Order: sequence, then structure tokens, then C-alpha cells
Amino acid sequence: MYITRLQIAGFRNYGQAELQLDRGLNLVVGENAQGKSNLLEAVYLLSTLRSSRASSDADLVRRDLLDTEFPVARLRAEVRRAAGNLEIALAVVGRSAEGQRAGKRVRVNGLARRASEAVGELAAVLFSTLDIEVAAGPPILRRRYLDMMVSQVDRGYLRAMQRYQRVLQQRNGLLKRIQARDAAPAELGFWNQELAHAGGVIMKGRADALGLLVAHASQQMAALSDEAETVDLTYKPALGDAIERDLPLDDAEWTDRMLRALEQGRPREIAAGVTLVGPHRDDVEVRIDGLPAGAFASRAQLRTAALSLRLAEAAYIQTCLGDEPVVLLDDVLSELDERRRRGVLDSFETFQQAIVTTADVDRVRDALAGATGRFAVSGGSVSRFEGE
Amino acid sequence: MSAAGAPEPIARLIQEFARLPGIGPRSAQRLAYHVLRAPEDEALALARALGDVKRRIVFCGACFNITEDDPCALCADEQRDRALICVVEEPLDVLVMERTGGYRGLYHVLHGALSPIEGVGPDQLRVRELAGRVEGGGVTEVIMATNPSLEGEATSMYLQRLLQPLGVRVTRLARGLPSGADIEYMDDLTLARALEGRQEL
Repeated sequence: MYITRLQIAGFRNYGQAELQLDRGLNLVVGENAQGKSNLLEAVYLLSTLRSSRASSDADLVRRDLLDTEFPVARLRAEVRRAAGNLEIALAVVGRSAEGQRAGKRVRVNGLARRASEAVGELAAVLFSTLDIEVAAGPPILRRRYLDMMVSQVDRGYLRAMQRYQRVLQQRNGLLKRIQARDAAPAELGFWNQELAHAGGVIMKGRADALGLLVAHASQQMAALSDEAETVDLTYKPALGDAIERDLPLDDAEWTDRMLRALEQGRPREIAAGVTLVGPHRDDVEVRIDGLPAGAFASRAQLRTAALSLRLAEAAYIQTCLGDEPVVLLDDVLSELDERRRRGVLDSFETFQQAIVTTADVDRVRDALAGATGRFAVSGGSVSRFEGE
Repeated sequence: MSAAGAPEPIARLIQEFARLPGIGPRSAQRLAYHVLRAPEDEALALARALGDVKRRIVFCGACFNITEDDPCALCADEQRDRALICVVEEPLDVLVMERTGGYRGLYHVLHGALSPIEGVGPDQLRVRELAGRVEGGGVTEVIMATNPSLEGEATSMYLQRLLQPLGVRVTRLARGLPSGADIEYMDDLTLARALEGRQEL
């Protein structure tokens, strides 16, 4: 799929902006802090309906609008897809006031939809300089990597995630009450069942996704490093101490195993007052050249692994949807050496559209040559330019 | 906008209105100035109604619905089927069920749903009283009409486990498509639930 038109109003540092985009490589050039990342964030937000950076909806709205009567940021994209053309519009209301609630409103082809039902209508993969943390940083980053990816192609997974979060909060509340002797352990029954039910769907989704990702990631790692390096991913579900060799096959088996882990862990969970078992504590072990990435990998290796993981994500989405995601590269090219840059750009030829930002045109002049669309960003406005 | 600057009685009225659910500061202001402009007997009628609702409304000792007389009119009605109890979260739910005209049994109002994070456990609801009614005999079926929310479902499940051993049939309302709706515009979750709960034609 590819975006033909993107409109932005009142979002981050943007006033009004409109871009006519082409298939192929779209290059966005600008100094730092002019709005390049915000442009890609806008596209990614239309895809995931969840910001990659902001902690609250108000952060997404242009600052000077927050003092006005109606602080709202608007994003809109027209997309050509294999599954039929798409027009997706998002309004982010920054503050509640009389007659309006803060939050996100989504329209898909003109019809109001819940945000959770619009996720992945526009499929996108975002490469950022922070990706280096995915391989070596805390587990939550690897869980988020999987969640953002699988949610785009599997509504059932997204629904299970949302339900899981709500059940988890209630169950933690109950564990604290049991700890304080305000409630009986017998009350855990329903919450265990619901948690394991949603948890089973999530763990099955993650295990399946990793099954597909491993092959793609190691292939990309080999290609980007001239066969010099390997990367391997192993799912580490948080199911307590019980070590069982084979991973379950379907949702029901995962649910079953999680229920057992919850029963076994009950005394420890009551003592801790929080849920210790389940996908919210999962991890994915990343090994580079056979060694744990967090402890042993060099910056260069981590950077290559990060690229491989994102390329694998794009391949995963492509496999699941039967359509290519839009690929977004946020200032990633300039920190790569010539060979890796070439490798990344070559692999983009399998996608219909890439939007690439850079602050340093000179370093990516080779990329500029093949660009079909060229844009300059300055002070929150965008203009097209031709030539160098 | 705050009530600051207004004379004390009106500021106080604005503050009181603003505590009501669904009323923002500006609506509270509008309501307060409306009362100020209204004829005195109209304003006093409102005050009396507020007083009466607190003084004269009590909970029915059997079903815990709100009522002026204990037992309530529904529990006192000899025509109703005493073998059926419909369990609801709030008194308003009883009104809605009654509007259907399709139910002739009794009710039990829990006054909430289980929600550990809000500190609501079985002891905070009228659960023990419901078990008491079932143990008292004569009840053959308990119908769960709690909301189809996570908390409502938790409540139903808890009550089902509590009541079934007492030898009573425990059922719950069907979940599915609203009548008059168009499948094309149905959200995924409702449709998935309706598919799960499909029935033989």
C-alpha cells in the first residue's frame, strides 16, 4: 500500500501542512527540531492510533492551541491498498471542556470507528534511532515491538491486549485486598480465568509472530553484515518456575498453562500484591552471534540487529496482510555506513512506499538520487523541491 | 470558570450543582442562575423534592430496590412469580426491565458490581442477602442481568458459583445484536459475541 495524500493540522509543531506523496522513495530533508520526526509520527499514529512518543493526547496538540476553546489536532491520509482504497482521519482533542471529551476520534472512509477497530487499516513500520534499545534495552521494549506489530494485523490480539490490561488491574487490586485480608483468595477464580483467557491469546500471538520473525530477522542480519553476523530470537513467556520444554500449540493450551502457573504462584502473588505470571512480564531473548545482545553486543552490531528486526517486522506484516506496509525511516540512514545504507535501501525495493527523513543531505546523496518525492521541512511547514 | 466573585449563596449553589454527575462548572452556573430567576415557589418545590427523596425513599428489605414503602410494590404484588429472581446492578435497571413488560418475577438489586480496584468486594454488595433469599426456599431460577462489562461479568460468575450449590438454576441474559440494527455497522466485538451465542432456528 502507499499514501497518496497526507494532511496535518494543529499537530505537534505543525500549523497546516499537506503533502502529495508518490510511490517509491520519499525523502524529507530539514534541520533538527523543524518537524521531520513529527511528520513520520503523524503517519505512524494514523497506523497504530497510539503515539510512539507522547505520553498523553494533549502532547500531540500544537502548544498554542491548548489555550484555545477547541484544542484539536487533525490528521488525514488517503491510501491506495490491495484491499481497497482507504481514507483515514484522526482528530485528537487535547482537553475536555463543555460538550467535548479529550481523546481520539477516528473516521475510516467517512464512518466513525473505535480507535481499536481502525488500528492497522494503514499498515506502517517505523525505523528510529531508538531501535537500538529494542535488542539490548529492558524487556518492555521487546514486548512493545511485538505488540505494535501483531496488533496491526490481528484484531483479536489487540482486543485480548486491551482486555488483559483491564483484568490485570482488577486482579492486582484484588491481590492487594487479599493481602490486607479484605478479600478471600476464593475471589480470584473469575479473574484468573479471564486473565489466562486473554493471556493465552496474547502468548499464542507472540509465539506465532516470533516463529515467522526469526527467519526474516536472521536473513536480514546476514544480508546487512555480508554473512558475518547472526541474530536469534527466543520467546521467554513468563509462566513461573515451571520449566516445560515444548511451547503450547493453541490458545487453549497456553491458557491452560497460564492457569496452572497462576495457581502455583498464588502464595507468592498474594505476598507481592501484584500479578507475577503472564504476558505483561514476557521477554524475548536476543542473541547476536550466539551471545546475549544486552551484555555482549557492540553498538554497530546492535544497530544492524535493530535494522534487521524492523525489516523482519515489515516482512511479517507483508506476509500477514498480503500487502506491503508503508516504511518510515526517522533519521536512521545517516548513522549507517555506506554498505549498510545500500543494503537497507535495496531491501526497500520490495515495498511500495518509503518515507525517509534526514538532517544531513550530503551523507545520503546516493539515496537522494533515487527519490521520487523530495520535501523540505522547516518550522513546521513542508514544501516540495526538485533536484539537489 | 469558577464561582468566585458571585455572592456567597449563589456561589454555594453553583458548587452544589457542580458535584452532580454530568454537570460541568459552566452548566452548574447556568442552573444556579436559572434557579435565581425562577419564581420562588418553583425553587422551593425543587428544594422540597430534594428533601423528600432523601427522607421518604428507603431500600426494600427484600430486594433492596428503592421504594417509599417496605416491602416495595413489586415484592408485595401477589401476582408476581416468586420462584424467579432477576439480579441487577442498580435500581434504574429494575425500571428498564419493567418497561419491557416481559418479566413477571421478582428482583434483587446489588447496588454495584465487583471491582477490586475500587474496593468493591462481595461484602460491599447485597450478596449475602441474595444468598439468604435463595436459601429461604421457593426460588427455582436466578437470572443474572448485570452489565456485559468486565465487572458485571465478574459479578455474575461469582454469584453463579455461590448460588449453584444451593440447588437453583442460574441463567444470564443473552448477548447479541440489538434489534433493528444493521449488521454492516455492528462493531467486531458485538458481532463476535453474537456468533458465540447463536441459536438453533
